[in-house]
Amino acid sequence: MAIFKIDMRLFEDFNYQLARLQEHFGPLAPRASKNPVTRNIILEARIHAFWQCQSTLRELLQSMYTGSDLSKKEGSNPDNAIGELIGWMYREKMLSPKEVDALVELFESGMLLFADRCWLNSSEKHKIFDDRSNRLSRYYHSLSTFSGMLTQRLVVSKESEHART
Amino acid sequence: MHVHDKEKAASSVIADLTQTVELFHTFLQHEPSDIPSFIRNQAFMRRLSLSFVILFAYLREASSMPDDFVQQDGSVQKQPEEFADYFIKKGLFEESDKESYVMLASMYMAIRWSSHGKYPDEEKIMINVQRVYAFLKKVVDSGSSHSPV
Repeated sequence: MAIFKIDMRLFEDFNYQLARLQEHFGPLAPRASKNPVTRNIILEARIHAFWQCQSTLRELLQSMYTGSDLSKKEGSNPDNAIGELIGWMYREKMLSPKEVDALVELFESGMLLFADRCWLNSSEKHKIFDDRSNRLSRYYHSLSTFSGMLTQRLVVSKESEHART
Repeated sequence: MHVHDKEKAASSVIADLTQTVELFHTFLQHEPSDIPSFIRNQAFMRRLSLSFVILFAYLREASSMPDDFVQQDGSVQKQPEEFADYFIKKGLFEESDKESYVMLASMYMAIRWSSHGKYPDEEKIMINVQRVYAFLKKVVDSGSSHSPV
């Protein structure tokens, strides 16, 4: 069984960014507006919060991979650190197939949504951008579930540590 | 790259920069009372980051900056001041604009690489968005009539 360590500073960063993203879907979230500029400001803010959150999660997963014995295994590929770690979490039943798909999609969307609208030079690309930005609430829930799973693991590992001492 | 290709590349990036600066302007003009300030601040954080990315791409293209100028010793990134001096030398903006360029580059780095205990002070950044916009607009206006170096 692979063992990973969590960089608590990165994990706290991730939870901080997650809380910022949560504000977009909580009671403080603005209501839908008819004004196109207001709508655009709300959307850009939401994309920014999502992008920061997924970027911190990437960093966290990368550090978990580097500190685990997965990275020392023969045939491991550091370029695919996040993919290997997610694959391992799936095999260890820490993630369901649905959760794996959701994580893969949200990371892909993170890259897509970094683009500015002026770089989208076709109506097809605009459609993809709009489609992915409409899924931000779903991505927030996936990120939140993932954070919950890691928190639970931390509690479990602390409890087993206490049991050993 | 041929001179024609360079001109084409620079004109395509200046078109991107023009668009992003126009969007920046619509945000500045709009003071919605129906959205919380954290939303407006975050929208500006994204706009500032992207404006810097596109501005840098344009300045790099228009100054014909060699690839090895970007990276120092293969890994250490040059300071914003050094880039500003290079762009000033190439006539892409004036010495008096150096502070604005460095400010925008620093804002970008603070937003993009925010981490534990080093989260950007968004309220402080917001104080300077008008100044950043004025600088971007100036670059766009002179860039539209500027031919690649």
